[in-house]
Amino acid sequence: MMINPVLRRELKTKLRSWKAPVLLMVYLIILTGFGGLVLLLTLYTSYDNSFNPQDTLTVYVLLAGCQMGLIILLVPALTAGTISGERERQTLDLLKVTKISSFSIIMGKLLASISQIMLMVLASIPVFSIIFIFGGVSLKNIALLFLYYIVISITLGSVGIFCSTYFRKTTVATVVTYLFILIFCFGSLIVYAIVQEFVYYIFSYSDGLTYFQSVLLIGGNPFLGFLSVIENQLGTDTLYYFLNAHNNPLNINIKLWQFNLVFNCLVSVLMIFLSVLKIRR
Amino acid sequence: MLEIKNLYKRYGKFLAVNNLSLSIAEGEIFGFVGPNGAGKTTTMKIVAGLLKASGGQVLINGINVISHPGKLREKIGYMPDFFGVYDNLKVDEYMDFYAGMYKIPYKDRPAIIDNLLEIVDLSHKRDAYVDSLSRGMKQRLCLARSLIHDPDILILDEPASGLDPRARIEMKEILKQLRTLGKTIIISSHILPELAELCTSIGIIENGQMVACGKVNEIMQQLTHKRIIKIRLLDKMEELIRILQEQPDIHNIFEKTDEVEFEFDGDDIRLSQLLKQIMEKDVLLTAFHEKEGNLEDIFMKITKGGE
Repeated sequence: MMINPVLRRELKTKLRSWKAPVLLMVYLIILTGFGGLVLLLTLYTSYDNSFNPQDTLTVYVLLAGCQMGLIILLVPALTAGTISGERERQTLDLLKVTKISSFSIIMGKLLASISQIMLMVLASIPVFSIIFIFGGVSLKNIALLFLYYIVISITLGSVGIFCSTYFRKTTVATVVTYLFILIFCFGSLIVYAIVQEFVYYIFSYSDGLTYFQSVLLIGGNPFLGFLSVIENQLGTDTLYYFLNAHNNPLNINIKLWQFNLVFNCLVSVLMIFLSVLKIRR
Repeated sequence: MLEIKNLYKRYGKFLAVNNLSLSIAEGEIFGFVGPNGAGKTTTMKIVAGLLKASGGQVLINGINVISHPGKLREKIGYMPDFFGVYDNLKVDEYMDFYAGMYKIPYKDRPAIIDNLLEIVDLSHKRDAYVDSLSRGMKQRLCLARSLIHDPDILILDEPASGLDPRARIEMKEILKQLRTLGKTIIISSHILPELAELCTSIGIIENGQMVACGKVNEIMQQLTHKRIIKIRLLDKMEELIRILQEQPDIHNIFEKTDEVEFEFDGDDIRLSQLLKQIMEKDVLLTAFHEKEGNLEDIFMKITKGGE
């Protein structure tokens, strides 16, 4: 079986440069430092100076949130220059005249960037394993969380590649990718708030939007998707109220994180499809 | 082998290639000549499958490759005028990467890469990083890359641009070697004398239109009706000028310190008679020869420049 040559070369050149180990080191320092700090604060702020195993969950949530934040920050930087960089380096034409398809070029680029993120996520497992010492979080929980990281990385990565394909300069592509993700993360929240207010005050629907309408409107938000994964693991129900889950006349029981995963996959497919179309021209 | 029929390329209102047609036989080296912005690179990019034509056909062995891009990629090796290389990649890895891009099986690659690096004289650099190579070496490596899938047709856009004289000569020698391998080569260059020496036929393009196309000698004959004769002498310049002025088939005599150049309408017999006449007058000559017309002359005569 032949490995995608773009992926093979990207991995080789990426890991050969000093940037990859430095990035990994900085990533782990931030994550470990943050985890350690949270652990210490939890220990010292308890009123009897003892460690409550229940606090492990707080450390887990904050650590997972920190990792999520780092992924959102890093993925655009790693993907937004992939195609525009080839264009700037004047190597894109040399790829396009070969027998390999545009889809393989895009997928090779995407997988190479995602592999780098996955390396960071895998390298963070020992940091997360601190939590296992105290218990409270199962392997299944961690596996679901890491699956979510993979899916969100692919989605954000495909947005980065899409921008990199459509914008000639890497700096422009990077800025637009971050803007895109900013709108993706906060724009949907603002739209949701406006629509909710609209429904309450204009139409005087006291119950507001139904659960399914809410999920449709805001279910793609990566922050809420992440929160839903965490809440599902902790058994808390903040999102239940936020999404008007009591107003569910159709009795649709899809969870927000489930919808979010499907939504992310669809966005990835669309972004990859558009990128392939653009590069083929 | 390669036939371009009524090719058009339009960018908005600007017509970059205008009804261009040409035919290149197998094993030919076709020189593509034209001023900057004439449409050479656009035409080459269309033939390489990088640009879509606004109209017309590109046929390789009778198959229209515009509608069969897969076949085109197998048949054509392309070297652009400007290209970059990757950081942190060695010469043999660079070649292996492109071998992968052309879906060449892993087991066949070492032999192909060895052979191509030998052709472009880069075998000793196979473990060097590509970004550390000189400009000339990068050009040669790019040429080797364009040959990785053993294409029938090579499209080389300004392969000698930016090279120093030694690197240019090395590139020319490699191209001569490729000609012996039976490759059909389309080459564009601004360094016209080099093309004249290398090419079997040329096409001169201006404002997107082919203004002359054919064998180098044929075009030269069409354009230069008169022969230019050059004489170098040691003494008796006035005597020589007098003899030349007496001849009915000599025009436009141009005199320098120890040289005379003139246009001559006669045939070879008349030329030898002229030489005999000069020698009989005891003019001491050091040179008597016909000046070769070159591509630069043709190019300047045919093209109008930036008018």
